[in-house]
Amino acid sequence: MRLAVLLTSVCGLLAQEATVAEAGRILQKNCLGCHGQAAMSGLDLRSRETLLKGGTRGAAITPGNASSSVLFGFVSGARKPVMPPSGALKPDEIAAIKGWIEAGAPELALGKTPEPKYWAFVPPVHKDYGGNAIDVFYPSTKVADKRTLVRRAYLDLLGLPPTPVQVDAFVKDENPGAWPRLIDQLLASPHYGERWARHWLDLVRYADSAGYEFDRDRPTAWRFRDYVVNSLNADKPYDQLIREHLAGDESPKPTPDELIATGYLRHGPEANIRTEQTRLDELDDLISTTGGAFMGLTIGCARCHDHKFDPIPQKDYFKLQAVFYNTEYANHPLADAETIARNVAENKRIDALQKPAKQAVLDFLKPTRDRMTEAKRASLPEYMQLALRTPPEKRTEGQVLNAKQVEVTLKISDEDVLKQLSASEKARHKELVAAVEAFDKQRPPEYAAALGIKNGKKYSPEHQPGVVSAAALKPVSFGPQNLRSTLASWIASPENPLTARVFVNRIFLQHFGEAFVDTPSNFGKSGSGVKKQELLDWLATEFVENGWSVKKLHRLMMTSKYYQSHLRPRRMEAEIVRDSVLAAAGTLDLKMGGPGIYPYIDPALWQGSSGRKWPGKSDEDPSTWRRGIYVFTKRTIPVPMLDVYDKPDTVASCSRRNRSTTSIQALIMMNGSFVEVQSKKFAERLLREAGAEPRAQVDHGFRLALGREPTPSERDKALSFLRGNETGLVDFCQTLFNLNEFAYIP
Amino acid sequence: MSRYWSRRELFNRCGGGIGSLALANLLQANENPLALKQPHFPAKIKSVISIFCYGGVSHIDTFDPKPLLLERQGEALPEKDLKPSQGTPGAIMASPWTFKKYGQSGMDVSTLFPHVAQHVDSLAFIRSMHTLSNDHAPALFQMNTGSILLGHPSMGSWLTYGLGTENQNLPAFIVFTDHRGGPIGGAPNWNNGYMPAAFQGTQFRSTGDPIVDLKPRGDTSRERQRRWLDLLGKLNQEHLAQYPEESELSARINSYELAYRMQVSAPEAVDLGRESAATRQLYGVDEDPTQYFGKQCLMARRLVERGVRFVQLYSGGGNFQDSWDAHWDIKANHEMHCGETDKPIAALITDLKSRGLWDSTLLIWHGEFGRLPISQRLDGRDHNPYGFTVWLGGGGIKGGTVVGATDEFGLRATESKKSVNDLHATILHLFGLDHTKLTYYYNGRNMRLTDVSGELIREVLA
Repeated sequence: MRLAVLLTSVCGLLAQEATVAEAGRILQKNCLGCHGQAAMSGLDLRSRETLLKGGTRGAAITPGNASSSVLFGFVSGARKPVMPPSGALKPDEIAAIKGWIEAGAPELALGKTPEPKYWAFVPPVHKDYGGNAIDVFYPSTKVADKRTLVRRAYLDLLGLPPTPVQVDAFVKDENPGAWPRLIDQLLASPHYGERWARHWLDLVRYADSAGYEFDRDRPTAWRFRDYVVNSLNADKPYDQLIREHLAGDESPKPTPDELIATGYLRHGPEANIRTEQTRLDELDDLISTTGGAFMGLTIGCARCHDHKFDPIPQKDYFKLQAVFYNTEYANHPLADAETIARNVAENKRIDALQKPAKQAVLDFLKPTRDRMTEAKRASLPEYMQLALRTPPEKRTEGQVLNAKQVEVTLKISDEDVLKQLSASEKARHKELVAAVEAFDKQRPPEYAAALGIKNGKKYSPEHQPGVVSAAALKPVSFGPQNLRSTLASWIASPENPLTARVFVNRIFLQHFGEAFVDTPSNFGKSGSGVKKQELLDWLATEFVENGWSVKKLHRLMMTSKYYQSHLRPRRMEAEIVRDSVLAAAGTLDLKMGGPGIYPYIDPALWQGSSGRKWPGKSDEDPSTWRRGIYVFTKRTIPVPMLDVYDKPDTVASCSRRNRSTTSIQALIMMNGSFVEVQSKKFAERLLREAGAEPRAQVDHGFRLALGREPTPSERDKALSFLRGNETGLVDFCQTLFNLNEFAYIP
Repeated sequence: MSRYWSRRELFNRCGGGIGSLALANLLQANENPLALKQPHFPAKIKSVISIFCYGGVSHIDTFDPKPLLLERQGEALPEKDLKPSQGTPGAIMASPWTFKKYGQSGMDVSTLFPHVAQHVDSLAFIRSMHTLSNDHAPALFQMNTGSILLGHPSMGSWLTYGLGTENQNLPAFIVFTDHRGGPIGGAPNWNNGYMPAAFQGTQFRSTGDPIVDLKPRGDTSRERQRRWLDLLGKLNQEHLAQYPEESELSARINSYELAYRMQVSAPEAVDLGRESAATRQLYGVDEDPTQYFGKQCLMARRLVERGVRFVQLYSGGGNFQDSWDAHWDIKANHEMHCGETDKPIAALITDLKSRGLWDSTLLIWHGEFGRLPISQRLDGRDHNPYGFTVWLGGGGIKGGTVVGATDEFGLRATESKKSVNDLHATILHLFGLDHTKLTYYYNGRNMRLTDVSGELIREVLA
């Protein structure tokens, strides 16, 4: 600003006024987002009074002396970090601030003018565009051909390629309502839920194991996966889904679904040794995942300091921590009270009967074990033996430690004891062990349980529960209990400026390969920014208007002309490539739900440590020919075919899969036994269904794999490949699986 | 090996927040994320070989002598509230091995590493390392990814992300696990975390085909495969003609050709049959107990010779005595593992030097932590994250150097303490990368291998 220079001129007074106004404008624009109502670091710049009061670093200004003013130190770069964090002010702006302070820092009264609120914190307003607004913002005239459309719709909604019959049915349907009818029909398919649950599971970092050293299985986690699939199929309103995820267990009489839904709060990784630190990390996982997945906010950034870009003070982080603080792990029984009581009583009875049998085993081994223990003691180094020989009261500190170590850790394992027994003694031991095991066989079957969380009694000792203040239109008050329900109601409310926007942005991204905010879990200032916000807002308000119906949202997007135009091809997720292979080969088992499956992984890639196992089945085993969503997700043993296609590591929420193309992917698709087996099956299918005529085989192969006839030139190439080629048909099938067109949604 | 993403994807994914260096380089690199990229400043080295003594090699029994332990064996450590990972701490236990001074520099090495000891004048010992966890998985993750938490990209991923690779026909980042199994923590030790899968480590096997699914199965011949790949190419070209602007599609076509080439180049790269009898003998690849690790060391040399950026060799696998995790009987444990690795490591140093690769390669030897000076389970040692030794050699390293020290018991690093972040910062520096500028945008932040810390360990730099 030239004004700062003018300050030294003759028109002193006028210039000073201008400088003050300019300083006000600069603070208003650059600083109040954080140092206004949000008062980060305790600093509120809106009035002279609060400026003088200052924040955690003391008074912000020393009127008349810029160089000793804390505020000026930060904006001028003399103090770190330079403010504002989004980029230093321009020299003339810094000069204006200086001029204002030097002039005695007259009142700016910024509180009187409304703060410019960041767009994402201003609730969307519904505007009528007289029809589908997508076509207003994305005008398109060219319509893709019907074969492309039907393949796009099937892959998009079901994650399965259409069969030739399904393609023909749509292509031949000349009625004007054919397209919306197809969409409705697909939305009614149970496989829709399997397809769209996958995105959600990425987002809520779902896995079937705990990670870290033992990476223990979570054998009941799959119920959550099925819950998501079923919820989507039932078109459960999204606001209800949020409430169930965050606080299903707080419902007055929780249903199994509500209990299973709290698995959301259990999917994070679990450390091998749980300490206060790892507990705080678990809470961080809940705060960060909830912030990102539901509200598109990187709240986790405010764990160690006020958020550097968004108006999320550290105190907001700890308010949210207080909401989750009293949660405890739970395995919610999914059985009635009577069954549970019966089960407990029966186990107690068996325990009592089993106890003497267990003692008998120990007693039988005792003499041998005692002998061996003595021998081992005698072989200890002299300084250890001395420690043992020394009377306890005379032992030095070191001898006390060593004597205790001998006591506690000198143990002879059962295995070593058994090695010393005679054949007849071994036989007797076996009988005794069998007697113990016989009791176990009498135990009642375990009732089903759901991995989840419940409320404990240990509340945050320091912080009161609360929400993200900048996103709250009005104060949210928490009662003494059901803290998560209060949080969930606030998130799942039409008044939350973020929730609906974030969700519709995700669905749009999946359907179109691009979105309004390209960083779908970061709507803040460090994200991509927003484009076509009016359309985003229209979709968000329509979504809420339609009762948070996800299916109606798909329908709205897919019936737009834009969706029916020429879209850019999108590579399928790993799971959909795999599903498509099975579908084309005709081997896909469409059984839904239940415990996960274990496709083959070469043992060289997983044989490891600490009992981590992968009970992989041969690729010939039909139990593995199910949809990719059912593949068991073990955090430290990724399935290569999915891993190299960027299936996320499930450690943290993944809002958008990476998409890399690698020669390792190509190797798996060229040489892996899964593709080999399925190529043979596909070839058998072609022989079975198309007969021995190569032309019919080629045409049928294209229809099954790509949903269309080959072009004449494609057909010629395939036929000349098959001519005189003994293994030609299997190789032709493998070729189809490897085509770009096969792996891309058109 | 080549892995691609499209320019459009890059912008979409990165939302303008990606580290500017990487962004500029990736775009220059014609959209192949593994294409060669310029570092921030001239690099000293092209490759790194990491020898990971998994389980936690004892520093006080190998490269950090503590004569006081013998003198005070059986006494309690002055530090009373020490909490070993597995409880029941014993008193001070002397090293079962003796130390000798070697080389011009007179650096101490125990009788466990007689061959490596011959090279001390080319090595820099950092005796003041410390790490944040005494639990294997977090400590392994920290050594490999800079963070004790699961889910961060490993150093090999960062290097290939930042620099690309010199040889597109081989993976840029290769990991050999021990023949007894993989380490605790499994694949996340060499995974890409939040980065694209293009940057993940590829596991190599030291017998048979080096890469799983490298070759067609059964009796499928290369000619047969070539035939259908030709058909694939032709059909893909017809499809591509409809989408001429989609570089991702042409990249995928290319990936098949690279894969086809890799089927030849990868086995060639680890074909020890091409090595002379003298070289095989040097590494001990035909005899026990060095055959397994000897092969891996020799393969590592062949790989860096061919421009592979990062090779990691695990010594020790599975649990307890199969690894360096000597909770009991450290004598048998370390004698076995040192016996397997000492000669091959020395051979690797000799061989790299004789082939002129020493100056362009960094060799780094480390565990995930050290071991305590007190006994555990009578004759073992528990984990020690407070102080341990790592050594470096090769390009840019000042040989014959000792940096830092632990206290007189070898319990805690006391002088010139160095963190894992410091070590990583130094390794990146040797590659010409400023660790504060090599960033990857994720979850609203420009992430770094060194997070928010890391100081160069200037003492080891030549």
